[in-house]
Formats: sequence, C-alpha cells, structure tokens
Amino acid sequence: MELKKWIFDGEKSVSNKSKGKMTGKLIKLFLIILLTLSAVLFTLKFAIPDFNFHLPFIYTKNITATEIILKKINKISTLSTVEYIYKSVFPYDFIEKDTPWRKILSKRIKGDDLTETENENLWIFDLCQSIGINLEYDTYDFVVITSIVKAGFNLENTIGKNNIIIDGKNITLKIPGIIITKFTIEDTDSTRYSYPDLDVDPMNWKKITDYVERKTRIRVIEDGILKNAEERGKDFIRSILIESGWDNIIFVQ
Amino acid sequence: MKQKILFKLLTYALLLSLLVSCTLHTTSSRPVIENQIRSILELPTVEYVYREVIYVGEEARFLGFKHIDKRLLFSIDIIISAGIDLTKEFEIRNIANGGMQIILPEPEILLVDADEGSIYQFFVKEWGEKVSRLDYYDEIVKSKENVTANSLERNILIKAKNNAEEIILKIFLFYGIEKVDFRWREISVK
Repeated sequence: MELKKWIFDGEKSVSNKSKGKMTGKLIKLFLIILLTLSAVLFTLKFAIPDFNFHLPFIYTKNITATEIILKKINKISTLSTVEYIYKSVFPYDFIEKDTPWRKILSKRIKGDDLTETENENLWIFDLCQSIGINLEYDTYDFVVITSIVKAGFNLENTIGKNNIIIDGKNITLKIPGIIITKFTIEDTDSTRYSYPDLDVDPMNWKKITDYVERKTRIRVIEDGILKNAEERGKDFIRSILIESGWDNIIFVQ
Repeated sequence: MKQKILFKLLTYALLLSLLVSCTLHTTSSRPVIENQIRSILELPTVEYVYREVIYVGEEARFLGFKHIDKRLLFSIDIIISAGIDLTKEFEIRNIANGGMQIILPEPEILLVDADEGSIYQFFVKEWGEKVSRLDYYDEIVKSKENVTANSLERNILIKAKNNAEEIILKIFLFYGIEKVDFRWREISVK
C-alpha cells in the first residue's frame, strides 16, 4: 500500500513540474508580446505627434451634442462685449438746431400750455443760463461729457438645453438678450479736458451729468450698441460651432 | 523569484501601455484645437467704439481788431479693435503632465477706422476765413492718433491678451486640458 502511494505521489509531482514549465513559457510569451506592443506604441507616440490611438475602456465619456454646444458657447459668449466711449456735447446734442427759443419763452411768460419737448427745452435753457450759456443768441460755448458704455449678453440667462434644436448638421439657437452691462460717466479734470473750459459749479455739473447719462443710455441703443454686441456674440458662437463641424447656425431671439 | 520579476515586468508594461494610450488621446485633439483657436482669434478680442468730439478754434487779432474767428465743432465715430494677428505664426506644443504650451504673437491694434458718414456738425463759425475740407481731414487724422493713444491708456492690448488667454483656456479646458502655458512672442518692429 505504501509503495503504491509513493509511486502515485511521484507521478503527481512529475506532472506538476511540467505544468509549471508550460505556465512560465506562456507568461514569457505574453510578456514579450506586451512589451513589444508597448515599445511600438511608445516609439510611435514620440515619432508621430498626432498619432491617434484610443483604448476603448479608457476616457470614454458619453456627452450629447447639446451638452457639447452648451459648454462651448456659454463659456465663449461671456467674453463677447462691446464698449463705447461716447462723448456728448451739452447742450447741442440735446436740442434741435432751429429751436424757437423766443416763442417757447414767450409761451412760458404767458402761461400757455407747453409740450413735453418744450418743457425739456426750457429746463435745458435754464440750466444753460445758470452756467453762462445764453441759447437765445448765437453761442459757441459747450461742455463735453464722456460716458463709458458696455454691452453684452445678459448672463443671468445662460443658454440652456431648451434653447437648442439640432437637426442634422443644422443648429437653431435661442440666444439670451443683450443688455447694457456697464455705464459710467468719466470723471475729468482740466489737464485731460481738451476743449475750451467753462466754469460749471458742482451742483450744475451734477445736473448736467445726470441728464446726459439718462439721454446717452437711449442714444447709444439708437446708435446700435446692442445690435453691435449681439452681432459680435453671434460671430463668436458661429465661428466656434462651424469649426466644430456644424454647417448652419440659425439664431432666434 | 523568477515569477516575481516577471510579475513586476508585466505590471510595468501594462502601466506603460495605459500611459501611452492616455497621452495619445489628448494629442489627437490638437489639430482640432488649433483650428478652433485660429478660427475664433480671427475675430478681434477687444473692440472700442469712440464717438469723438472735435473742436477747432482759431482767433487772430491785428492792432487789437479781430480779423479771424474760426470755430468748428463736430463729432465722428471711430472704431478701434485689437487682437492677435494670425498671419503671424502661432504654435502649440505638448509639455509634461499632459499640458500644452501655446506660443502666440503679442496682441496689437488691428484696426482704427473713422466712419466719415457719421460726421455730425454742431456749429461752425467762419469769420475772416473759411474752414476748409483739409481742416476737417487734418483734425480727423489727429483724432485717430488721439483715440489710439487713449485706447492704449485704457489697456486695450492688455484686455486683448487677457481675453485671448481666457478664450484659448476655455477651448483647452473643453478638451480636458487644464495645464496651459502661454508664451507671447514679441512683435519685431521693422
């Protein structure tokens, strides 16, 4: 019995040894293949900078086309702004050249009803009188006020998934409104003021700048600041989307 | 012992393969990024619209008598834009840790355009001498120079550079590249 067992154990150890050798050979072969493959890929990576290779189980991320578009345009559109450095001439920017001053003044003296424009003209007339400009006669005195106006996308309303319709290679995009994002009246001093100086006291200066600010906000919009900013924003978005492979971009409000 | 060495080699080989595949994935986007940057930087990164007010005043006296009194006040719109001139070369290079280095020409003023159709005359006084067309022209040229100087004072080039960097960074970020090294090449004055 003992002899039989000894013979059986001997056979078993012989067969385990040959199995171990086989496994070792297989690992070696696998290693050689893997190392060769790695070496080839490594060499290719440095030899060809744009060498294209992906392992399917690495860096695979499913992003929808809408998400891609949103990511791109919401980031880029924040930078597309337009800035106006707008000089206004008080009072000539705010009155008609042929304003019938005598007629309006006599209407006021008589206590006649005045239109809204006539009232505004009289307000300007009085303000001008107080700073030494008499509009009844030919006068060449004026004040220049510089406003800095910035316009861009209303960032409170970013472009969301509901604002995009994708149809093949065409995109219809609802863009946020354009607003004036900044308005400041530039503080000036005599060293930077390049026009004939007019002595205006601080109280009247405040009245003038408040009026000019109110009027300039309207005027820059009439001059197309919002349209300009919108076109610039569209150009930015169009440029990035067309480069990303879209054929046609339609903008809607 | 041999098996341990083999196992270590196997692990290194696998890590190497992973490293290679990851970095290659990034570089595969490079031409696309390059085109996108080129395309977006074709647009000026900063644009100022000036409504300039120009005053011309000339007064001359002879023996106490005024014989010339010329005054002119008018406004004109001047557009000035700054950005990257892409006719000058730009480069994108791979750097360590999967980052990218971008070498761009310094931003410059690309356009100073006076819109003569926007001229609005507030008043003109011509006593003793007329205001000639040349007077207007000279003043507009002078005004364009003033506007350029003013835009530089308002840091138009710094803003153009910052905007360009921000735009480019956002494009890179979109492709998962966070480390971007900006290098600006000074423009040689001929």
